Amino acid sequence: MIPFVYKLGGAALFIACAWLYVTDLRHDRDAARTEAARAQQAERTATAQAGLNTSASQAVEAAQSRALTITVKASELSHAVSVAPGGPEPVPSSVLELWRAGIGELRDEAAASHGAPGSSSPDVAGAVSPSTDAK
Amino acid sequence: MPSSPTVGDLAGFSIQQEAALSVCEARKDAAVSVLDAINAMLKRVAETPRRRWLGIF
Repeated sequence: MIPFVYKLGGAALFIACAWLYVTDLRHDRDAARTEAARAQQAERTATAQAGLNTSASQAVEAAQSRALTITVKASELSHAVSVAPGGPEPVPSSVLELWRAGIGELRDEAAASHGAPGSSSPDVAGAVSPSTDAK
Repeated sequence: MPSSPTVGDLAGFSIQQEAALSVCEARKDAAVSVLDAINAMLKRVAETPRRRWLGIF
């Protein structure tokens, strides 16, 4: 005859083992869910990143294309005005002096607002060179 | 480099300046597009529900 205390101990041990087993199963299930959620999150992030890459590439390509078109057109127009009738005539000295002074003033102002020492001698001749391309 | 610019030079210069402004505008538009896309991406990622499975009980 097995004593009642032993039976009780056996039952308690069985229950404890069963509880530990169930707990372990729950833990595994939760870990799997966490891993799945993490994978889903990573997938969404990757998708969003791919979308961002596409958008950025398209925006940059569009800007480059636009800039190229503008530069080419500006170059053609610039050449056209330089060879148009009256174009090769020199600018009247009074106009040129005022223009030089205006450009110099604007450059000094810009330099002062950036904290750099102002340049009071604008490179006007270079600035109006027909070969100057818009960058 | 010509030391005494011509009328054509000045007109061409103004055209080049206008073109430079347009190019800047195009690049600014591209930068704004990229920033918008970044914001949209961050929003999408942040809105993703985060499930936390705490404990085992």
